[in-house]
Amino acid sequence: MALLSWLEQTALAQYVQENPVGYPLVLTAHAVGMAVLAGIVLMINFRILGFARNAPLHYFRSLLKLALLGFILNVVSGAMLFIADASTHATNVAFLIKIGLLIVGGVLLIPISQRMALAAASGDAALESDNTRQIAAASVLVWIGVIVAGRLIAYVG
Amino acid sequence: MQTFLTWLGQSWLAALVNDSSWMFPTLEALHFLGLILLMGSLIVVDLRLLGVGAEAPMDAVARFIPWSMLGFVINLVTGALFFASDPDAYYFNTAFRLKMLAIALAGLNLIWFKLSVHPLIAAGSGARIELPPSAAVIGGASLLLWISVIVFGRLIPYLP
Repeated sequence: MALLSWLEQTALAQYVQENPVGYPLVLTAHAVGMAVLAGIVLMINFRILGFARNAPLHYFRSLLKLALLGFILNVVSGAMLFIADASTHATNVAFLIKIGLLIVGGVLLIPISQRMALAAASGDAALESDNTRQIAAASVLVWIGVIVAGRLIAYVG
Repeated sequence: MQTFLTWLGQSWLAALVNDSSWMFPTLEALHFLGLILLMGSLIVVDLRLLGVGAEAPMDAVARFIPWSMLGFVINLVTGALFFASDPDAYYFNTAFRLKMLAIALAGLNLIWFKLSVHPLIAAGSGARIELPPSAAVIGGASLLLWISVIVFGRLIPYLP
């Protein structure tokens, strides 16, 4: 596709491809962002699923803001990794699965953060519902999938 | 040491990793899952030690520590298998050595936590605990050290 090869020739893509420091630097930022984002999301879901019930949800809401920072870091670093090799990534099965799961994981965070806000206003018990727990369980599985698929991009065609 | 590295590189453990095409990627995926368990729970505990969410009971937050332990054990096992698959490449690698150094320092930091802050948490279960100033130092050092573990680990293929 013309767009993909154009992306590969932008100055930013050339930097990531050719600068010996560029690629490892962006990859490292992506790993740190992943740890912050997926790590926090996982722990919030564990809390919603009933782990450490006496830890107030208010605390986890402040952590969710930090997770958002990890997400922004990874959108930026991920976009840089993508454009460095856009045409290969665009047809890579693991990459496509990762992006699909990422969208699902992001969408699932909307009700999670809404319900946490509700719980902050009306008490932690507001989060005690089967439906919320199902969303949290789905979120855990989806984010595990994002990471596994992401790790496999380098190995599948 | 070289005798050990050569022996390890020819052992059944090395063969276990090297003789299949799916073993290495599977271990890598597990290593990343261990990493998010470890880092996620550390963020929960260490930010609280640093003073974020001071109204959250410390003993409840400290219940996340076992997830760090689980993540660490997963990564110790998968990491040992990476090492066995190509001992020379890891042992002489600068990034790998810096990573091991950072893990050792994080271990010492954990011992400091266990001796100074942990007894207060255990004793004051349920009650509001006044954290000593050292708690913030321990929490900050833990985050910095573990982030540097990720950074050095990610750089192993790129540094000599």
